[in-house]
Amino acid sequence: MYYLLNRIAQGLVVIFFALTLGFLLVFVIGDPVLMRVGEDASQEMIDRYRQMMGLDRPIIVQYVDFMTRAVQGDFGLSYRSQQDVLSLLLERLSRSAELAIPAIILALVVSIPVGVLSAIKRNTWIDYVARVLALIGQAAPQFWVAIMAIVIFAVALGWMPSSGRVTDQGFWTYVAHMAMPTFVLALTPMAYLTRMMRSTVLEVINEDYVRTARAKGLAEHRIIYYHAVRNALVPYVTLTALQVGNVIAGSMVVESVFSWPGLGRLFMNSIRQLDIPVVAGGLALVAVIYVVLNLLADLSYTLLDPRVRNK
Amino acid sequence: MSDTRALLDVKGLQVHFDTPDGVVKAVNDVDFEVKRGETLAVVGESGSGKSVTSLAIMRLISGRNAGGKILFEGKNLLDKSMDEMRGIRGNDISMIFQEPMTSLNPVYTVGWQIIEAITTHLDYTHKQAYERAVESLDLVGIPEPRARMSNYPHQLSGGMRQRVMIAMALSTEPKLLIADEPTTALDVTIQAQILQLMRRLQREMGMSIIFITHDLAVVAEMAHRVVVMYSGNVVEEAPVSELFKRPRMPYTIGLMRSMPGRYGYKTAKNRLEIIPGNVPNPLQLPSGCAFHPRCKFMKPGVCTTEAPKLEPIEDDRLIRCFRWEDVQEQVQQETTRRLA
Repeated sequence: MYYLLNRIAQGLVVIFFALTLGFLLVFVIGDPVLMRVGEDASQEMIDRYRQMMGLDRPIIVQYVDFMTRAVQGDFGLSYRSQQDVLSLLLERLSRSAELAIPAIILALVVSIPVGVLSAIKRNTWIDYVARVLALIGQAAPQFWVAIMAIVIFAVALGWMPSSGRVTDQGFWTYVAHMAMPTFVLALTPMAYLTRMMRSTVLEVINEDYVRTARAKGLAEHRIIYYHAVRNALVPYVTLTALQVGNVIAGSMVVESVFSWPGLGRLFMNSIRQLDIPVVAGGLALVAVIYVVLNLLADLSYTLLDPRVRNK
Repeated sequence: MSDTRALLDVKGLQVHFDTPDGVVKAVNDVDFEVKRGETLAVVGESGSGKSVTSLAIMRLISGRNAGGKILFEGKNLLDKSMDEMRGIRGNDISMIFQEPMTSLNPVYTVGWQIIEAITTHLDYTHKQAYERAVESLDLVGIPEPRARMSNYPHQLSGGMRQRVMIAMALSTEPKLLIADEPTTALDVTIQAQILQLMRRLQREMGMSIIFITHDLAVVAEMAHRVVVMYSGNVVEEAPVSELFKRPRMPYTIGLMRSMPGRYGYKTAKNRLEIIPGNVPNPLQLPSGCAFHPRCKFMKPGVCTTEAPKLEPIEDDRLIRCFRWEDVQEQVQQETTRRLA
């Protein structure tokens, strides 16, 4: 219980810093007033807007005001669309989840069996192929993979639609549009997780309790799944939570390349257009997601490892 | 009816490991038998091949079986398929290890792990297996066995964990228990309790035990017969009382003289002796007798050129030494001189 409270407190600190960073963006990116009124506006116009946007107040007052409203989920209105930032973000978040959740599932479904197989078939061609693919998946930049996927599968072969999110032409058209971005998004975490599973299983397989399992006369598959993989899951789950962060980061690039109207693309566009409320809100939202996922990983730790549970 | 045939008969066992630096001959030529209901101690320094031998009996070693036979109830285990071996491991032959702290899987309850051993080999329902597991925990002297079933290994002390290991190993009533330094990692009082427990269980269940250790005091407590190993070879085999009274092989003599306490060999001025030098590098074994570079009875031209064979010298005694008769004489003279 103390452990959990401790982790929640840490998470709150992270969110606090993310919010502060979001607030400070105003002073780093450029003058949002000038962005609104244009470079050639009159001083009077500028002053009026500055006052309207509350940017003429002392910084500390602005900060307190920002934070008070932020914790209530109020990040103001988007400079560009004049929409409420939070509802805008949440709407886009659900679109991103349409890619991110299948991507994570795909990464898990591939990495567990491939990682285990790679470990138990160590130094065979299966292992070599899996390791090389994982290394490529980890090293290849997502924007490049995304563009190559479009070039090959959409342009050259014409098998897949190149971009966009289409919902009004039936389920399979929708699936066809989400397939490539999902796969590209899944690639990096899949590679990391495969390598993680492989190395953890290799480590665990040399543990004394695996030798005990062998001495008990258990069948090999039982030794692998009940004694090796089960124990390897503990670090694997932690890395999965961290890899969700990778997926969020990757969605900025992937959604931009595939014109998927999710959070990542909104974020990229908002940065480009200096739509500071959206950027600040997005930053906070991503921080909250990250903290919550890490908290879930910590909780899963207590489920997976009785030694943590009883502390 | 008494079955005089040995339960386990290891003949000329060789286990080699291929390494980038060459072939490591971890077990070079090992012969011994284990009779029914007997405890055989296998003694030797680290690197003498005693653990490798025990793992080889279970076929749990990644090394190459370069030769020999391991006859268990007359059948060669080295001829068995992996499937057949799985039916023997944990069923006819069980094993417990040196590291009670890490030998149990941390994510399962001890009850789960014992039940797993039982249901793997015996045709029991879960409920029957559960009751059997409780009985075995009770048998090894764990208080409140029913409550302990749902404990995880980390909730138990090292001594308790070793008891759980023993309970698990014995839950299928094996004919042979291989104990690889089961008390080395435990402190002295717990060690004594575990040894006492194993003696009691052997009496009650009548199984045979191979007890691997480097601790001669433990040997004296536990064993009926002793096999002394050096550098992958059996160098001496004798009933325990004989070995302690009259060690013959120079290496065994050295071991006895380096041991303090009541089983130790009393030397002049009560000084402990040492065996000079180190265990030979298994990649470059010395010519002739593997012990000759460290042996104070070594005779150039004899011990350095040809490897001695393990030979019977009296009833129930085997020795691997060319010069054991001379050695015996010298030792007797020393003793007489000391007493005079």
